This record gives sequence, structure tokens and C-alpha cells, in this order.
Amino acid sequence: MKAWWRVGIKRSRLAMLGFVLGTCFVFSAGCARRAGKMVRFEGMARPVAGVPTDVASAPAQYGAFGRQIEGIEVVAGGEVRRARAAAGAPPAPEEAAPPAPPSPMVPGGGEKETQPSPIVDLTAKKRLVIYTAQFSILVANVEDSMKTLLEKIKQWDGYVQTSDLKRVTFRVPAEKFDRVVEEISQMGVVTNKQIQAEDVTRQYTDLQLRLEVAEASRKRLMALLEKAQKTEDLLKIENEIRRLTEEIERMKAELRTLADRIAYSTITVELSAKAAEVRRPRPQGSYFTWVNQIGAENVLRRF
Amino acid sequence: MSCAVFDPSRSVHPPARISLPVIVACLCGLLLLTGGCATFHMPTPENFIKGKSSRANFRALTSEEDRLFVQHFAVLEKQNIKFWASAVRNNLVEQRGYTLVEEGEFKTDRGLVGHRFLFEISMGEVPYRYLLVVFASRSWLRQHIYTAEFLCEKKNFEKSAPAVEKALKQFQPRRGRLGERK
Repeated sequence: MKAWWRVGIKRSRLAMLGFVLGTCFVFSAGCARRAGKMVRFEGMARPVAGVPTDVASAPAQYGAFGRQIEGIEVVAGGEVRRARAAAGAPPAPEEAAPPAPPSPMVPGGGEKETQPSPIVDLTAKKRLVIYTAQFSILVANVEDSMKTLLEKIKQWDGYVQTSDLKRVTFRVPAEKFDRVVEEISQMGVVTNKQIQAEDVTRQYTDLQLRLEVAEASRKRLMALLEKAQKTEDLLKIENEIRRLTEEIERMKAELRTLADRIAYSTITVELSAKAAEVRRPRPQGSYFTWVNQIGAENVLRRF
Repeated sequence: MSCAVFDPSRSVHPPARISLPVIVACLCGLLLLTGGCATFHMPTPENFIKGKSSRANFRALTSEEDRLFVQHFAVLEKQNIKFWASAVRNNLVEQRGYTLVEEGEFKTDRGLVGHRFLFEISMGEVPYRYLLVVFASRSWLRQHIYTAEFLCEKKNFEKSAPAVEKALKQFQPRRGRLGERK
């Protein structure tokens, strides 16, 4: 009897252990399966294009920066993704949502903008800086130097904003700014050089947060609009939605401008003709040789 | 007995002739005689002793070693005394940094007009006065320029300068036509 009792206890212990181990295995296997379908984001959960997950359908988990703005996709935590439309990937559940009202700046809606979009990497470590530079350079031939400069702007993947005979304002990708500044400095004698770096990280993030809040408010108002019964309430809600929509579009435009200014540095170069420099020879005395033979020093020397 | 008869056709002595080398030698001697003379006349100023001089320059100095140096230059460029005075002023003031104290016309007793400069300079923190008188005359081929330079310490200038200027009044160039004479 005693042996049977002891054997019974041992069996129940083994069963408990087996149950615990089995539960752990099942749980870990489930987690591993889910993890295999998701890309992990250091900061906040963010779905990858084309991989539908139930997490992606919860906008509240996206975080403040995980939002695509008019083709510029900015993701917090160091992850940067191109616009899904440009990549040809199927729309994520987020984009499958009702489209935003058309932008006043871009006919047909801002999300379908076709121009190449700059990608801004907004991370806690990397600052968002707008670089601008102004140069005044003395060159031997203004016309030739201007031609050379215009050619170089093309090579730098830049474009000319304004130009005249002596002055050109152009924009180049921000990552080439240092190289461009160095090459411009070697064009001639630099008489004036100004480089400005404007940190707009805070301005950018503030704007994005305000945009988030405004969009959330608009969603709530849209929900209220569906439930509203009275005409007076309907009008009030519609007015508020209109106001919010205008504000959202204005903020989006502002973000676009900022992103563009961050992605492309603006450089102004003013060229001036340098007079041919002739080194004046050290005075060797008078042309009239007899004049060189007079003077106090000659009196002392020849006396 | 034979009698010797003088026959001029049989004379062994040829008729007297002046050979070309002799003529050349004479001419050279004449040139040396005339060219060897001093190119100007400059009396030694009072309280000065004449130093080593040649036909184109004259040296004299005082016991304080104030120095008078007269030179003659023959140049190809022909210009008037104003031009040469300007050239001298430009060189000494603009290029060598001399301080011009005064300048003006200088006329000799014989009416030769020159240009007088008085400069002040400093050598080893000692102030010096440098008096310069320039004369010019022209010959057929060349311009003749005469310079009289007197250098002394500033403190000695008042003592020695009058004797120098008095001697310079008697200066006579011996080359060229004195175009500047008045």
C-alpha cells in the first residue's frame, strides 16, 4: 500500500510537470510564429507593407511618427521606408482606410503625388538640419566659371533655382553638401563664405504631433457626424470638420516644405571677375642709371 | 780722275711723306689731350680738403668728415633740368624714403641754372642733411648731367653748407652747350 501511495504521488507530480512544460512549449511556439511574420521596430510596432497583421489594424499603436505624409514615410526608431505606392506594394490596412480629403495644393489628393519624394530619417540620434550656404568668389572669367558651375550642379544631382549672369542659386542633395562646398571653394578666390545650419528637429516633431491630434479629432468628428440627428448639430460638426481638414492640409504642406528643405541644401554662388594679377617687381632703382649712383649711401660708399 | 756730278734722279732719299700711322697717332694724342681734361671746374670749398678725384668726379671733405662729391654723367636721354629734378625727387623720396626739406633753383655766378634739394635722412639714429644740386648741359650727341652732393651730420650743416654753396657758385661745366644758362 505504502508503495502504491508513493507511486501515485510521483505520477501526479510528473503529470503537473508535463502540463507546465507543454504549456510553455505551446506559448513559445505561438510567439515564434507571430514574430516570424512581423518586423520588429525598436521604438514602436509598425507593420511592413504587404504583411497584414492584426497589429497594423490598430492605429492607436502606431505611435506619433509612424505615419506616411504625402509620400514621405517617417518612422521612429531608426526605420525608414519608402512610400508604398512607389514601391508597388499592395496597400497596407492603414492605407486601405477611407482616403483623406484632397489636398488643396495637389489636385486629386496628396497621397497619389507622383514627384520623387525625399525620405527623411527622423531618429532620436540624428538631427534634422537645413543647410544653406552663400559664396562670393573671384574668378578669372565669370562666363566660363558659370558654365562650369552649371555643369557641376547637374553632376551633383542638383537643380538651379534662379540664375543670372553672375549669380546662381541652386539646390543639391543634403548628403552631398560638404563635397559641394569644398568644390565650390576651389573655384577661385573666396571673398565671402557663409554656411548656416538650422536645426528643425523640434519644429518637425511638433508639427507631426499636431497633425496626429488634428487627424484623430477629425476621425472622432466623422463618427459623431454619422450619429448626429439634428440639423443644427450636423452643421456644427461639418463646419468643425472643414476647419480641421484645412488645418491638416496646411500642416501637411508645411511638413512637405520642411522635408524638402532638409533633403536639399540651398547654395548661392556669386561670381565676380578678378583683375589679372601682375606681380609688381621689387623696385630695382631708377630707370636712369645715373640717378641710382647718387644719394647719401653712395656718397658714403664711394668716397 | 772722275768727277762726281749730283743727279737728283739718282738720289737715294725718297721725297718726304707723312705716313698714315703717324697721322692716326697724332690724332689719338690730340684726343687724349682734349679728352683727358676734367669735365667740370669745381673749386675746393673753404675748410675742405680735396680728396681723390678724377676727370669725371671731385671729392672733398672737412675735418669732421663732411663730404662733398661732385660727379659728371653723360647720358643719351635729353631733357631739361625740370625733368631730371623730378626724376631725382621721385627716386629719393618715393623709393628711398628721403625726407625733402626744401628745394628750389640754384644759379651759378656764370648764370648756369640748376636745381637744389635739401633732404634729411637718418643713419643709425643720427640725423643727416643731404644737399644735392643738379646741373644739366647738352652736347651734340649727349646730355651732360652734373651732380654736387654734400652729406654731413645735421649739427654740422649750418657750419659747412655755406662754404659748399659758395664753391658751387663757381662751378663750371666743360662739356656741352649750357642750354640752361640764363
